[in-house]
Amino acid sequence: MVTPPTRDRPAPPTRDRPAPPTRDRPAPPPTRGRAAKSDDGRDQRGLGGRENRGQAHTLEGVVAALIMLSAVIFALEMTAVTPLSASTSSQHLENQQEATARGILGAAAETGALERAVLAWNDSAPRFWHASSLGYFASGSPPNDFGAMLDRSFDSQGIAYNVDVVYETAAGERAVEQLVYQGRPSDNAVSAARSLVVFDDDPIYDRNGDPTATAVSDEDTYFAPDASAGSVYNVLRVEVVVWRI
Amino acid sequence: MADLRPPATGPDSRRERAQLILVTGFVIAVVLIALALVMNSAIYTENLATRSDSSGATDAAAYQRTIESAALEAFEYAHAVNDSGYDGLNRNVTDAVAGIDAISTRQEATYGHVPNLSVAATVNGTAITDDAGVFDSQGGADNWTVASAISDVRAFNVFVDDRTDLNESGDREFRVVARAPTERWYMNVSRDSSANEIVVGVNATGSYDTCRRSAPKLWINVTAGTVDGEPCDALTFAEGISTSQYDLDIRNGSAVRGSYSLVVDEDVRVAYGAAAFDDPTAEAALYNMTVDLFYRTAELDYRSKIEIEPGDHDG
Repeated sequence: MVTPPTRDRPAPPTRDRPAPPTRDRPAPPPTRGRAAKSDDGRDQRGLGGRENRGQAHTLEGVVAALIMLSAVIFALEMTAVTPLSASTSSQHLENQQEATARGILGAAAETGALERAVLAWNDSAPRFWHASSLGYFASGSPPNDFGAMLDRSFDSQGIAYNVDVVYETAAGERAVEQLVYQGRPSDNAVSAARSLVVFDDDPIYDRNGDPTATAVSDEDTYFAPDASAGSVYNVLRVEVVVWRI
Repeated sequence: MADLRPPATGPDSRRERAQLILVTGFVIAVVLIALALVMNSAIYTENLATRSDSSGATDAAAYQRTIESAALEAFEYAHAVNDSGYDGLNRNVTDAVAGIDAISTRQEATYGHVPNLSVAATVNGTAITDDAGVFDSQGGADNWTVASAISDVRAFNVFVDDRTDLNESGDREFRVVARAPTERWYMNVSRDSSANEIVVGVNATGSYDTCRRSAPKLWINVTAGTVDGEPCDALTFAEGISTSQYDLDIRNGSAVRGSYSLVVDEDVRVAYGAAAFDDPTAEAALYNMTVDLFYRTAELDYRSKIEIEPGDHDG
């Protein structure tokens, strides 16, 4: 960066000042380097001489500004993804939604609401009681205790969710029955799941949520088949997928 | 690159500040970048710290809870349908747990989790019940041994049908006794006519305490320590019995009417014959069941023993 002062610095300007008399003092030897002088000592670079620095300084200023601007933009970009940012991609929000879904499933499983919800089967349709003709609840939640929990936690907060019931077919394959389908989840969706073991003698529930005399193993239209030889009927894995809209 | 050191004097001397400004600009830029890096590191750390659990520990806990309730249901289902003694009970619970294991293993494997369930052990016991009447033996004895040489009792419930059938306190009151060679625990049930109360008295290691209820009829859950649904501090079954085995007796069985049921951890059916109406009956029952649970994920290897013992007084 720093150049030796004697090498590159041109001679003092002679334009604005008369040259010293050559009689009294010999002219300084020609500067080594870029410029030569005419006989009268005038700098031959003219406009390409000292005026060049203005251009270079402008360029330096622009470069410095770009560097500083880049640093500021870089810093601002970083702050856009803090975990506390109120955006749909916030990790905190996703964690909370996942924990809420887990909590709902856990509470519903403990109180039996989850079992009542998945065994509320209308054999004449056949589909879940009160479900739309598509076979699932497309808007809103099922009118039972499990649905009320989903409603309080998600529907009232403007959060969309799907509830899938994964079960095993008679051939030992994995199949899915949709209980609630509110659309295709976004990239920021989270899910929570809870398994539920259904036994042969567990009753089917009627439209009011009361147990009927029909056991699930006697209900031919129920979506999940008897997948086990013993007293176990099937293992249903209830998955709740949650996302902000 | 422009000169950084213009002449010290003359019109160009002002440009000496350009170098300073330039260097300052660079320093500020470097400081800003450093700040951005520090902030980025902090945010990245915070992001990692707030990530949801990826090891599967929460899933393991939820799976265990599912299996606990399912194994309890399988245990009760086996007793509800059983008609072939211990072999049938053991086969039923083992098949049920194997069925849950087979299906849930295939389901969980889809999500990268590998659970494994198996029945590790069962303990044969006897369910003794008397549905109605006085609490005498099959031979009509007032004082008799319900089960001898037992070490544990679960689901011991006594229903007192009518307060007026009870004797007054201190007058040949109905009594349940846990009797070891040198130690004795007993619970007596009597009435206090003046206060219109049922009195449940408990003698444990010499100290005597009572719980009083004004209900005309009530349930005493002996192993859970509740009287009429409310906790009774004095009532802790077999408290102070330190030997591994004791006998369970009923004294003054005709001084109460109602019903009772309990499960002991030994096969004591030989002491009971064919039950007539109003007689106590003894049936094969599993005292408890232990299920081994393994749950593996890429980052977690979890093992647990689930003990199924409905109505266990140890909690």
